[in-house]
Amino acid sequence: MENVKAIVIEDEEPARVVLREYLKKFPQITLLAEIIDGFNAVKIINEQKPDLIFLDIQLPKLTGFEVLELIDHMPVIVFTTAYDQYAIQAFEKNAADYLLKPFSEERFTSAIQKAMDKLAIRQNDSATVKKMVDYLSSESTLLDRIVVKTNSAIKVIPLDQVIYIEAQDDYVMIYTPSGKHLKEKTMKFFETHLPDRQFVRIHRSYIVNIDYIVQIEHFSKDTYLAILKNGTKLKISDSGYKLLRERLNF
Amino acid sequence: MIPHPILKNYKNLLIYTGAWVLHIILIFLFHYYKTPLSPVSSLVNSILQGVFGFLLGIAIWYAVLYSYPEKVGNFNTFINHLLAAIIFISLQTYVIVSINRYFLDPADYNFFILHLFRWVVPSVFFYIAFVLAYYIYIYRFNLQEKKMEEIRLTRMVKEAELNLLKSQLNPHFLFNSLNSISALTITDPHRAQEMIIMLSDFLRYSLARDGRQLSSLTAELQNIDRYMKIEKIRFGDRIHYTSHIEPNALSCTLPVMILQPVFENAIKHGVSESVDTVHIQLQAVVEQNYLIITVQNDFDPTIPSRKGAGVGLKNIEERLKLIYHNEGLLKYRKENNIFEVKLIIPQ
Repeated sequence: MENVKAIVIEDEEPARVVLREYLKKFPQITLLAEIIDGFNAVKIINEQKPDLIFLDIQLPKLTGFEVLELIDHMPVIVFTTAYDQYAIQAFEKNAADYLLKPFSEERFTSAIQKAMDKLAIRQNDSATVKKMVDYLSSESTLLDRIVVKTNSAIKVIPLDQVIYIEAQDDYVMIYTPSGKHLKEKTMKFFETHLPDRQFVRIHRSYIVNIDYIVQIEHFSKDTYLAILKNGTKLKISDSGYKLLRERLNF
Repeated sequence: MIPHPILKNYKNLLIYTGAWVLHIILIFLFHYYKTPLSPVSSLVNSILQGVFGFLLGIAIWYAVLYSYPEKVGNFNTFINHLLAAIIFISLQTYVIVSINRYFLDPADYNFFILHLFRWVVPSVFFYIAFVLAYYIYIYRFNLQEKKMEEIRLTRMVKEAELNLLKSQLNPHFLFNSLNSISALTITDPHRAQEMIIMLSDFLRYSLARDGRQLSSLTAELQNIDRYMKIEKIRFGDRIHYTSHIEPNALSCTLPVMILQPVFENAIKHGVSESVDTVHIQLQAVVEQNYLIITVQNDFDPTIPSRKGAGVGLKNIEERLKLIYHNEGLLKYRKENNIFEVKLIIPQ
């Protein structure tokens, strides 16, 4: 394949030196940019739509995986990482290529070969990558922050800023004191990946941060309402009420 | 195997023998003044009783040692002792009676037979008294063993904990450093060699010591310099490290490799999460009998921290607690965009 547009996302200069050096042997690959943090990675991938990216996992501001959650354009990905047993499992299971630092020129060449093959048959990697990201999130223990996109900016929301989460078809709406954010994830995902001492699924459509509940009120026979600090009222289902009682001890 | 409480040393044997000699004298006096027995008969009788008591006391130990409740059950223990007592006492009575028949004149012998219970009943009491005394001895012995074992175990656990807490080398650090050096071999082979030596010295210092060992501040700081030089290749201008150390602090002691995790923490949560320069400052002063080390770093407060925050610091705190038997030797606080760790090391 002629003229492949590539981007390196790597925060450590020496690691970039190695990639630059190895890439010299591949004149058909044009290095569009070198990016050193997660926020810019998302922005520039979306703008420049590269064919191939070299992606470090450990990055300032967003992890490599969080970057993948946020980009609209899915290039072929070669991961580079120093040591992350658990991520390696994900790479292996999902057939994306990965380079363990430090890596040899031969190993790099074979990774490029694989990437080229993928590009040549115009196989879009997005399905596999999505599978891998899902795998990582299903395996990983608990979330400690949520990343979302707002118009052009990226927001990293700490969990104590999440008031509640509402189901919206294939998406969820995340409500924070500074606004609401749409994210392409399921309620089931958040139900299992948020710490359950802080978050309770009170209804088919709501997961609520119990720190924001000020009152629980009788609505009608057998139904209750949770009243939140900001005045929002959320319906509580039967099973949700049971869970709340357990969690709040009343 | 528990040593025989009487035979285990001369002192005990001497005291035991003395007690029986006293016993013989008392029995003799009793027979002589309170019974119609002749002086010779009294003497023969008290000596016989004393000698058999002496032997019986030593022998009962084995009956006790080979049958105690934990081993054979309460019922069996009881039966064993009953049988042993019957055998011991019958044998003793038979021998004493036979000898008396030979030595005593008929009148004394008749008196002896008539009052045989006076010889048998004390033997039963002796038997019971010895058994109880031996049991107490065995339980105390076992209890002490257990206590010693417990002390040994706690010490071993502590040792193991300390070694575990002593910064396990972070594989991220190792592989990233090797990657940086691999880059240097392309751009600056001479510096690559320097860094390999630096990394080797760092590894040697980290690996060669156990968790309890103390080191001088000078040696610790030397190691921190190596660590920071290695990290400086990775992060370049993103790290800015300065230190202010009071001259009299240099000879103070502190647990080996206690500072490195503090810097690792600063790099993990400060430097590697930021694209701008992060300032890491170390300050060491001596106050009264304490070495006070403060490490500060700035960080990007807009980024919510990820997992693992504080694990390294908890380890240090735990280590300090185990070594100095004192809580609160590590303090940390976050203020605006400064993170500060303070170590208080008793001297």
